[in-house]
Amino acid sequence: MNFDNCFSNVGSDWDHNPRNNRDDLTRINGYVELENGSSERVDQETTGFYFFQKFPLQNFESERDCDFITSLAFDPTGEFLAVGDKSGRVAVLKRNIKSHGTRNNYTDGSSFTNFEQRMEPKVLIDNVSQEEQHADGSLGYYLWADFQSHEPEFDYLKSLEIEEKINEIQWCRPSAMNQLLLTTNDKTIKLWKLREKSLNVAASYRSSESHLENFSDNIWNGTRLSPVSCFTNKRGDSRRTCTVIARTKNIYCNAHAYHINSISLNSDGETFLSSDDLRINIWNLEIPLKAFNVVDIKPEAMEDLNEVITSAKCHPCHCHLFIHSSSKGIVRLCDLRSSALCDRSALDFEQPDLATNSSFFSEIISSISDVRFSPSGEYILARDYMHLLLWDIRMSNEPLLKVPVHDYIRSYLCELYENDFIFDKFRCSFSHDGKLLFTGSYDNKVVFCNTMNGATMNHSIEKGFTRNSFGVFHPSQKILEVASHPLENVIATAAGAYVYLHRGY
Amino acid sequence: MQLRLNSIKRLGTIATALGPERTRSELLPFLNENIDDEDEVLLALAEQLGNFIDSVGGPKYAFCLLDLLETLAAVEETVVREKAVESLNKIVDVMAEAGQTDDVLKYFVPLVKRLAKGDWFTSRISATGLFHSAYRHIPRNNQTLKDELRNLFKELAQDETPMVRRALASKLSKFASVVEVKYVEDELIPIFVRLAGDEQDSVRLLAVENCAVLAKLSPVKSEVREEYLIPIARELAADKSWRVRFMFADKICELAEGLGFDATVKELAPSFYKLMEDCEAEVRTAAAFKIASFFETISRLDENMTDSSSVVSEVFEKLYSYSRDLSLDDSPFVRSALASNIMSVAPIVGPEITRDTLLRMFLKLLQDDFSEVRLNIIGSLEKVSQVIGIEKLASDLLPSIVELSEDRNWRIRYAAIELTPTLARQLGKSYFESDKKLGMLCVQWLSDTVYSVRELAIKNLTSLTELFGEEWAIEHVLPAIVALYKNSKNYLYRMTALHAMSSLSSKVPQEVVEQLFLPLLVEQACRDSVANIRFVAAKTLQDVAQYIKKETRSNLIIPCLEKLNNNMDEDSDVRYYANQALIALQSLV
Amino acid sequence: MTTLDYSIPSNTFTGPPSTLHTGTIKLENEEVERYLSQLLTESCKPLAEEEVKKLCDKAREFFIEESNVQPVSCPVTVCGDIHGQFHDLLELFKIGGNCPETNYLFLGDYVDRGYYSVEAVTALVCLKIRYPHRITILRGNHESRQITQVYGFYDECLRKYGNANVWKYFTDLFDYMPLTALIEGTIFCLHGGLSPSIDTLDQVRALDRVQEVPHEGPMCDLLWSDPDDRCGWGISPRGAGYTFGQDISEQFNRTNNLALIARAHQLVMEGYNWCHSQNVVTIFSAPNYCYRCGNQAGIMELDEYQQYTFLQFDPAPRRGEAQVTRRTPDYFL
Repeated sequence: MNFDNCFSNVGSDWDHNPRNNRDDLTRINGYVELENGSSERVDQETTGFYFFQKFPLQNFESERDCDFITSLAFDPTGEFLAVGDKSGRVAVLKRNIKSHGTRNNYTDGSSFTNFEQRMEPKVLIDNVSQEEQHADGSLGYYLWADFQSHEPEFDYLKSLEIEEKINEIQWCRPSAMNQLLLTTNDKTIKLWKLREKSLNVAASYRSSESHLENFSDNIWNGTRLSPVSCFTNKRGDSRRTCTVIARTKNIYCNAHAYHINSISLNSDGETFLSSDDLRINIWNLEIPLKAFNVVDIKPEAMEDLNEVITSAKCHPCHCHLFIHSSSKGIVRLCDLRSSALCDRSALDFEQPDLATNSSFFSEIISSISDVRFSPSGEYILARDYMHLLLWDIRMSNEPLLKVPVHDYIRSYLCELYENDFIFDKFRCSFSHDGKLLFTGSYDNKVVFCNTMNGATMNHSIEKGFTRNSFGVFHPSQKILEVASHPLENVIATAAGAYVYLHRGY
Repeated sequence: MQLRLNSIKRLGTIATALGPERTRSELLPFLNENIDDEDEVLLALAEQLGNFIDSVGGPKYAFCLLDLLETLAAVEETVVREKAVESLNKIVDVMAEAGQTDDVLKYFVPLVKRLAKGDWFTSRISATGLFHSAYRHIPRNNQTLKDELRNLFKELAQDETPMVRRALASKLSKFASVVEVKYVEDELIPIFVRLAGDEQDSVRLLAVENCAVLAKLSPVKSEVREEYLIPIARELAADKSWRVRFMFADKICELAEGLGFDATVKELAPSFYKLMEDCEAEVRTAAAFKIASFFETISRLDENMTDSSSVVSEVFEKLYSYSRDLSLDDSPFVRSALASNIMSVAPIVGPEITRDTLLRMFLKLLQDDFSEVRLNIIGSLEKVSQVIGIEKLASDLLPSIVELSEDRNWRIRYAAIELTPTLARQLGKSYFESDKKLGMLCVQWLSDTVYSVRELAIKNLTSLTELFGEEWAIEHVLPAIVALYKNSKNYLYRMTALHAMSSLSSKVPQEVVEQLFLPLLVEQACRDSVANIRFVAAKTLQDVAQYIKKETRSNLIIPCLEKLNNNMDEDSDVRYYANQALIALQSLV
Repeated sequence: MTTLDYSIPSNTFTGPPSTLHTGTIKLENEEVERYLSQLLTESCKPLAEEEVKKLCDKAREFFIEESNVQPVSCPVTVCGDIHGQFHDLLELFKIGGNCPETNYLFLGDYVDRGYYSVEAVTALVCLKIRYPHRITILRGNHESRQITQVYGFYDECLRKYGNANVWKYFTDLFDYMPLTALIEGTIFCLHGGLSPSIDTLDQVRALDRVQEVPHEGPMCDLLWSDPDDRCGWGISPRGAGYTFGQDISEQFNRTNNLALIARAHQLVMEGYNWCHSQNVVTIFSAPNYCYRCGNQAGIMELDEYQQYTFLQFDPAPRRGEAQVTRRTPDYFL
C-alpha cells in the first residue's frame, strides 16, 4: 500500500497532494481544514483500523477550550455524523456523494441528486490505496451543516450558570426533506430539523425573513428561542451554493432538576428518555410539555445519597427495556413492561470483585461513565475509569470481559485525582457488527478489544506530544468521545477540537 | 409567515378569481414548486386542498390535486400528514361518487402504492390511512388490483419501522370493514395475529382494540372467533407488558360487545378479575374505571340471552368481591377510580344487592383518607339514592360532607360546595333548613377565609333558592345574609353579603328586595366607613335596581347614588362607581 | 359582578372625568381596564411594547406624588415577594379577593427568578394606575437595574419583546416607587428592614429616593436588611444592608410609636413568620418559591380595626411548562 499517494475520488480539479495545497483548501472552504492522516502503520496493522480523515471544527490555528468536542453521533444510516462541542455548536458531517447507491436506505435520490452533484467533496481521503477506494466507494465526510444548538444561559431560580456544552446527540429517523436530531446540554433538550434549501438569493432572503417571523410567533410562549441557523457552503470559484437550515422543532425544558447526562431514542421511534443524576424521564417526541418520570433514586434525605445515575440507554429493538449505569459501577436493566415506575430495576449487572479491592480511589474509578447495548441488544458494554466491561444480558452476576484500558496509569491515580483527570468521562462503543469494543484513553489513544478472544490493541491517533509533568503519558491529550458507524467498519473519535475518522480493513 | 398563511387560507378566493383552468395550469404548479415551507402553512394547504375540487373544475379534474397532497402526505410533521390523508380520502370519495372510477384507478390507487412503497416511513404511515378508501372504490371485477392492495397492506404489517406497524394496526379495523369477509378471514386475521405478537409493546397494545372491532364484524365466522380472536384476547389480557393489560382493561366493554355474551362470561370476565388484582396500580386503576360499564355491558348482552341469569349473577358476585378489594387498595388512584363509577351499578343490580353489599362499600369509600375518593363517591350519590332512598345514606353522608367542607385545602372545600346542588336535589329541602347541619354549612361557607370559596357559596345559595323556592330563601338564607352584613367587623365579609344580595335579588320577590335589602344598602352600606363597601354598595344598587319598583328607584336609589356621586364622597372610586350605576339606571327608564 | 357597562352614553350625569388623574399622560380607564382583562382574565398575554411605555409614563405620575413613607389606611391586605410567579399572583387574588374590592399593599420584589416577571409587574402597575387608592406598591431590592440583569427580568424582557426597551421602561419606573408605607400610623411596611443610619420615619421621608438602588446607605438598607436573632447590627451575608436584632426593632418601634414592622424579602416556609417578640413580621407571597422550595405563601389581612388574619396558600396548578408526572401519561398508552 502506498500511503503517500493521497488522492481525491471526485475532485478532478483538485491537486492530489493536499499538503501542498493546504492554503487553497482553507480558502475554498473556510470550515474544513484538511489534514493528511499520518498515523503509524504499525498501529494500523495491529488494530485493523487506519485513520483516514481529520476535521478541526473551527478554522483556528490554536485549539481553544470552547471548541472541544463533547459528543459524537452517527445517524442510523451512517450518512451523517453529528459533532457537538463545548460552545454549544453542532456540526453535521455528511458522507461524500459517491458512496451513494449501496448504503443509503433513506435518501430519496431525486431530491438530492441535483444538489449533490454540485457539491464538491471537501476532504480528500488519505492513506487509502486505489483498490480499497474502488472497492467501497468514497469514504470521506464533508461539513454539511453547522448550527448553534445551545447558548449559555443562567438559571435564575437557582442562580446557576447553565453551560451550552452539548452533552449528547441522538439522531431520529429522517423523513422527506428533513434530518432530525436531538441535542442536549445540562438542562434543555432540543429537537432540531435540518433541511437543505434551494440556492438562490430569494431563498436565503426568505429564510432570514422566516427567522424573524418565527421569532414573533414565539414571543409569547415563554420558551427561549433558538435562532434559525443558516450555514452556507460556498465554493469559492462557483456561483453554486447550498444552504442547510437548522430549526428547532421542539424544546423539552424545565423537567430536570439535576444535570442531564444522557438522552436516548427508543426503538418505538416515538419516545426518548433523558437521565440526570437522580432521575430518568420518558418523553414523547411530539409532546414537549409533559415528561413521565420512570426512575427516581432521590433519597428522602439528601444525606443518604450514595449513588448517582451516570448514563442511560434504550434497548436497540425492545422498546420496553432500558439500562442505566451508576457511580457505584453497577448497570441496571429496567423493564417497562413489569411496572409503570422503574425505581426498582429488573436486573443488576455487577462486578463481584468490586467490593474486595478497595482503595481511596476505588469508588471514584469504579463509576461508570458510559453504557451501551450491543447492536443486537444481547450484550451490555460499560466503561469505568480503568476498564471496559462487557456483560451478557442473560448473565448478570459477573462481566464476560473486564478489559483494562490503561493499567499503566494506576500508579498515577493520586496525581490524576489532584488534577481532576480522574473524573474524565470516557465513552465506549461496539463496532457496527458488535465484534469489537473500543474506547478512548490518554495519549490520544483508542483502545480496541476483540470480543472473540478478549485481545486488546491500541492505536495512537497522533504522535509528537510535548513533555509534561507526568513524563510518561499525557492526560490532557485524551480521547473521550468515540462512536461507531452503524453499518460499516468506520469509527469516529474526538480529541480536543478534532474529529478523527478511522476505517477497518 | 402570517402573510403566507393568510394567502393559503384565501386559496379558494384566489382560485375563483383565476378560474378552474388557470388554477390547474398555474396555481397548482406554483404551489407544487413552493412546497418547502413552514408546517403551519403546509397544514393550512393540506386542509384547503380537501375542499378544492370545485375550484379546479369539479370531480373530473380532482386528480390534479393528488400530486400536491401526495407530497404533503410524506412530510415529517404528523399533523400535516394526517390532514393530507384526510383530504385525500375526501377527494377520492367525491371522485368515486361522481363516477370518476377510472381516475381513481389511474391516479389514486397508484398514489397509494407509491406512498406504501415510499423510502420514508412518513409516507408509508400516510399510506396506511388510504387503503380503505382506495379499496372501497375499486370495482368488483378488478380482483387483481384488490389483491395487490391487500398484499401491500400485508407488507406494511411487516415494516421494519415500528411507527408504520403502529399506524397500520390502528387502521386495520377500518380496512377490514371494506374488505370482503373471505379475505378478512384469510388475510387480515393473520395480520392481526402477527401484530398481536409484535415485539414492540406499543404495537401490541393497539391489537386489543382491533380484536374487539374484528370480532364485531358480523360476517366473521364464529370459528374464526374461537380459533383466533378469543385465544389472542386471552393472551393480551395476560401480556407481560402492563401497558397491554391496561389497554385490555380499558377496552373491556368493546371486547365484550365484539366477542359476545358467552365469550365474555367464560373468557373476558375471568381475565378482568385478574386485572382487578394486577400487580401494577395503573392496570387496577384502568379496571376500576370500567367496572360499572362492564356490569352494564354484560347485563345488556344478557337481555338477548335466555336463562342465563344465574351465570350473570355469579359474574356480578365475583366482580363485586374484587371491587371490595379495590376499595381497600393501597393506591389512592385506584380507590378514586372505583369511587367514581362503582355506584353506577346500583340501578343494575337492584335494591337488594345495593342495600346488602354496595352500601357498605359506599360507606367505606366515604371515609377514605384521600379527599378525591370522597368527592367522587359523593358525586355518585344520585345513583345509589335512586335505588335505596336517601334516608339510608344521610346519616353517614353528612359527617363526610362536613369534613370535606372543613378541609384545609380550599380547593377541596370548593369541590364540596360544588357538589351541594346535586346533593340538594337528592336530599330535599328538609336537610337544608337553617337548624340542620347542611343548611348551616351553606350559610357558613359565606364566611370562608378564601374569597373564591365565599363567591361559590353565594352561587350555591342562589342555585338552592332556585331549587327550593323563595320561601325557603326568605326563611333560611336572607336573615343570615343580613346578619352577615351587620355582624361582620371585617369589610370583606360585609362585601360578601352585598354580593349575595346582588345575586339573590333576581330569585326573591320584589317586596323582599325592597324591604330587606334596600334599607340596608341605602342606610348602612352607602354610609359605611370603608370606601370599598360604599362603592360595592353602589354596584349592588345598580344590580338590584331592575328588581324593584320604579318609584322606589327614583325616590330612594337615585338620590342615594347622587349623594355618592357629584363629588360628595371623598373617595374617587366611590364617585366613579356611583356614576356608573347612575348611567346604568338611566338606561332602565 | 364587577363588570361595568361602558357602552351606555351619558348626557344627564356629569360625573368625574373618566381619567381620574389629571396628569399630562392621557390614559383612559377603558384602556387600562382592557390591559387588565388581557392580563388577568384572558390569555395572560403581555402588553405590547408601546402600551408598556404609556403605562410606565403614566405610573410615574402617580409614584412621584407618593411619599417615601406612603400613608395607607385600613382595611388592607399586605403581600410579600411575588418574583415573577404570575400564576401564583392570580391565585393570591383568588384567595384575597380582587382589586379594587380588596385593598392591597405589596412589599416589593415583583420581578426576577420566576418565568413571568413581565406579566406580574405589568398587572400590578396597571392596577396601580386604575385604582391608585386601592393598591400601594413599594420598591423591593429586585426593582433595580443591576439586580434584574442578573436574576432574569432583563433576559425575560429580551426574550418576550426582542429588545430591552420594556426592561428600560420598567427599571426607570422603579426609581420612583415609594420605599416604605405606614398603615394607620402604626404598622411600618417595607421590603427589607431597618438601617443604622435611620432612627425616625422623618429621616426616611427626607431621603432622595428617585435613583437606582445604591450599594450602601439608608435607602439600600431599607430594601436589603434582615432581622436576626442576634442583638444589635450585624453584617448581612447578602453583601448589602445589615442584620438587626430585637433590640433595634423595639427601639425603632418605640421611637416612632409603631406597633409592628411588616416586611418581606426572606423565604419563610409558612408564608409568614413572627420574630423579635412580635415586633417584626415577615410575609412571603411566592408559594413553592422558584418552583421548588415547597413553601406556602402568606398574606396578611388587616381589617378596619387593624385586626390581622394570615391566609396561607399553595401554588396554583401549573400550566404552560413541562410537567413531570409520575403517573403514566396518555402518550405512553
